[in-house]
Amino acid sequence: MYLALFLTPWMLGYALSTIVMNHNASGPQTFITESQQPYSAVFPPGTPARQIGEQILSDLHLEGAFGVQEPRPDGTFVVNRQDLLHPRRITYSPADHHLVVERVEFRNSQFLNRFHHRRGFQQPFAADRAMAWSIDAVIVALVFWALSGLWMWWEMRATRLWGFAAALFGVGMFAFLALTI
Amino acid sequence: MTFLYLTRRTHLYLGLFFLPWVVMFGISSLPLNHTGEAEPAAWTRIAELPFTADVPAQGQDLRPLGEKIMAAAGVSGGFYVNKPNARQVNVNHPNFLHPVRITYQIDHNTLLAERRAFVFRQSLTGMHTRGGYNLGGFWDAIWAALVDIFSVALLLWMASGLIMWWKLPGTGLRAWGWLALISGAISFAVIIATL
Repeated sequence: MYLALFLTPWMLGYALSTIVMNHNASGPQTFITESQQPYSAVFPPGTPARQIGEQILSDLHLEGAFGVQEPRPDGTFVVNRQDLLHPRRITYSPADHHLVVERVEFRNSQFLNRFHHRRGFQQPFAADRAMAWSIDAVIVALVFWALSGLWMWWEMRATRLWGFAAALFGVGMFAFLALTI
Repeated sequence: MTFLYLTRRTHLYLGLFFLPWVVMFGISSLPLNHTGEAEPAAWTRIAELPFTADVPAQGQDLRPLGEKIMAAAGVSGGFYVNKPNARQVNVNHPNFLHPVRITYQIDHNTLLAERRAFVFRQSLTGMHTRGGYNLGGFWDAIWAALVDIFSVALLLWMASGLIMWWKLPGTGLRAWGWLALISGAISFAVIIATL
């Protein structure tokens, strides 16, 4: 019970975001230009993309989880700062030493989508690690609830018949779908 | 029949019906949260045949062509279709155990269908990530509907859980419950605000 009460916000987030994703209701992202500025940093050829991204974010005071791709053929370099509330796209054009910072317009559906997809221990930041640990806690909780729920049901003799019917129907439906689709 | 009785029974029977989904979503989150080197999947050729069809222009619906490709390859069920470049159309039939990929080489007028060997990790994560009503298969739509009902069930479990906690006798259980609820909400808010 206490585990469930503690994890209520996570479960609420996962339930709502699953509905959004199941109905493909996120829609396209809208970018709003936040700033444009000259940027004079020079990166020697062969500098790893992540190192460039890290430097640009540090210079903009936007440190945090991010993703980068290799530079485009014209040298333009894009950093995606994966902020949960306000993700940003930073485009650096080395040809004219220019930097454009764009922020994604906030939408509830897209926020829920980002929340659902935020996971893993790849990013070295404390908040990302805390999120990943909390997901592990949700995993343990789900398995624990399943097992403890089964035990509590078995202890209630009056519900055994209908409970058995519900469980059998669920297992049968799941097995059929798992083997069919 | 009291409201509390109804709440308890709804909580219980919904839980028992969705038990396999609860376990699946729990266990499958593990490889998604702890990504590692995935073992390479083996694909076996199941059909290679001549095939010609009109390819829709850029931006037009590819699903009718996808249906023809699925039928020609002898595969039935839900599918995704995309055209990564002007010379190729890909159709993916995302079966949990043995997904099939079909490649239509437009220039060569050939169709190649391949079936993937069973990979436990990918089957598990495939169940976790499968959803939506755009695959086209009847049972795929049933799965998507069950995902919707499961999401509603999660909300009902939370609401009924809160009611059952509130109805517990004694002040100690309620006080510890408040502590768990508030500390969870604060932890969540801090993580969300800093992510």
